Amino acid sequence: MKLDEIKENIDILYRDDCTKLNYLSHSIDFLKNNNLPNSKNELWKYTSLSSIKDIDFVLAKDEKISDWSTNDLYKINDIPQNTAIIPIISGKFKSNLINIDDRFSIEENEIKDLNHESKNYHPNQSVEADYFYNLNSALALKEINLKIHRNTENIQILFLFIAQSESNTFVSPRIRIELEENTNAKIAYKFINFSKSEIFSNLFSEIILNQNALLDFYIIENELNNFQSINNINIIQNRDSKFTSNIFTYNSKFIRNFLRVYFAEENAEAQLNGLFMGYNDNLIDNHILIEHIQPNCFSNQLYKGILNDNSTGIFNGAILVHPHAQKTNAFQVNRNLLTSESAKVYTKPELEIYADDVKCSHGEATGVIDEEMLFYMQSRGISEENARRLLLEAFAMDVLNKFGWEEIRNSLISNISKELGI
Amino acid sequence: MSLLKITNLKAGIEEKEILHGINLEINPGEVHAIMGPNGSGKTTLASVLTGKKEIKVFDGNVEFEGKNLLELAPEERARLGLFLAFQYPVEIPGVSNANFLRLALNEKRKYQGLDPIEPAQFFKLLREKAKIAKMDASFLNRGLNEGFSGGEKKRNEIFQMIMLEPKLAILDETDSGLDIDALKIVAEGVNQMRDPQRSFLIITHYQRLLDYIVPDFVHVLYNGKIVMSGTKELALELEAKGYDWIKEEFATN
Repeated sequence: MKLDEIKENIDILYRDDCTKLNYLSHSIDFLKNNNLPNSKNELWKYTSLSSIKDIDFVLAKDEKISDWSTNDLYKINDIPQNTAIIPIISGKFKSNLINIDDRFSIEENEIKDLNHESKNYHPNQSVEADYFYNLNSALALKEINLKIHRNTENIQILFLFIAQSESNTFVSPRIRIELEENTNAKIAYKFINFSKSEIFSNLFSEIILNQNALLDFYIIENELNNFQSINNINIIQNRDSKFTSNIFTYNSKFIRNFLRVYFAEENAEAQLNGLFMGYNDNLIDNHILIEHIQPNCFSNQLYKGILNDNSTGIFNGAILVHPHAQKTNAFQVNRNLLTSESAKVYTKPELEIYADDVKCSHGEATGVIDEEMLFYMQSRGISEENARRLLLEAFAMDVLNKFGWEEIRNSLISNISKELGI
Repeated sequence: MSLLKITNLKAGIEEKEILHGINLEINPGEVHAIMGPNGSGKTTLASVLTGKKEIKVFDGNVEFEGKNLLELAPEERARLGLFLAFQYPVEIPGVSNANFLRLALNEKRKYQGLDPIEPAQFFKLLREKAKIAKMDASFLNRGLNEGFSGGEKKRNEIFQMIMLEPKLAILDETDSGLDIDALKIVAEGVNQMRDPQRSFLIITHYQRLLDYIVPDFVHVLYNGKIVMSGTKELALELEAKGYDWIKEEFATN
């Protein structure tokens, strides 16, 4: 089944007992009335689905998955210590492999049993008009629910998305994370491919930060050549919460990360960091929407891209300041380096400001490696190749140094040190 | 054998010839000064010697210890012992002064067949030499020239020179824009480095620096040619009479 045929089969999955969920009936209607997005859609202008469109998928079913033990998981490279692993193997949540910790709860629920569809659940039209959000809603029959219990600190959780399937697989992970009041956690989404066949993951995740919750969040997409993925992630921030995202995308065929941050209450803060490095024909798409709905919130985006070979990078950062959101501070920086003539970057800031008393700024710059800098280093005896690597390292480290989870940061640095640095 | 021998060097940018046949020989241990008005080709001369891509050589040759310098890459020239203190050093954010110098030093050592310097030994050396250039140790971990004032950048050039111990150091208008204190620091750095095996080519617009670094020879560059050569007294004469004197004398050339 090809991507554009999947929705034809929605009626098979669609069950009467789900119609009470508003979002689900919305999504099913949406899919009936809309086709796959193409370049005519402003949000998909440069994001071609051509690398996914023609793959013949099976929807993930009860395919036999080879046996994993919890120990096996911890033996995978670069897994940080003292971290709870939540494995999702070829789209299947493996609860039996999780070490129980009373500071949080994790369970998988049938969509039909959900009862948390609050009015804030999808506070924004942007996500409701997103084809892949709707596709996820219609296809995900289960939702993984992680709850960090109130007044707990220093929690480290790693969601491990492992692709391991004999046939071309389409998966729809759906994850809801809630940090209760006064919590402090590090949570990472790491994608790993052990499969030779194609996998396409269409993830939707909702992350809720309650009062005074601090979340350091990571997405690690490293060498995913037949693990293509779209991640729609909604972040809802309540009073005094702080969200930091750290996204690392490296040499992966097709990635679209769409983060939507909603400041639902005052005095919340979001820092979004991203480093993306494209090679070959990679397409790496970073979409951001920050909605300043309430006053006195702060947001800052720092995204840097290094595009090599024939790769394409996209940065689209939207900041929307609602009329009520006075004293908003919202900043954005995107810098890109192109190392070949056929590499491309499309960068676009979108600021919509409806309040008077705000501070907003954005800066975008795309360039090539500075010849003056190269010559300066060469004139000190450093070879051109090493000078180039040193400049790329400096460029990348500016973002990586912001990644606060030391083990992850160090593993990413050693990961790219083959290409960069000395 | 001379350290540097420039013979009938004609060079410029794109099709425009700026240097119209330079002849200059520098022996080990000598300090040469090249003076000249703006636009006479001083920086072009420094650039062609260090191998800047934009500079085209139309004729002539340059030998460094008997090797054809012009066919070597900039980094190879540096490893042989050529150093340029830039007139306008670039800022390279994110690359620390210390890392940069360690890499430069190790590349040179590798060329000489030596092992990389031990980190502890390197940092000891770094701190010792920083004192000579009056560089605060905190500079070393900052980005290369990042946010440095003009004077700090020039001092950093001298500091790098001290670290890399070149055979020939070219100072391209290192004195321009420096106050007297910074000028003295630069001169002190150079004077401490003077020895019978090391040579200097000091390019300057003003005589002032030569009060502190006393040259063995002074050359006047005008319209892409060395029009006069002499000893340090020539610099004083130039200072007294001004460049108009040269311009009038050699206007027809």
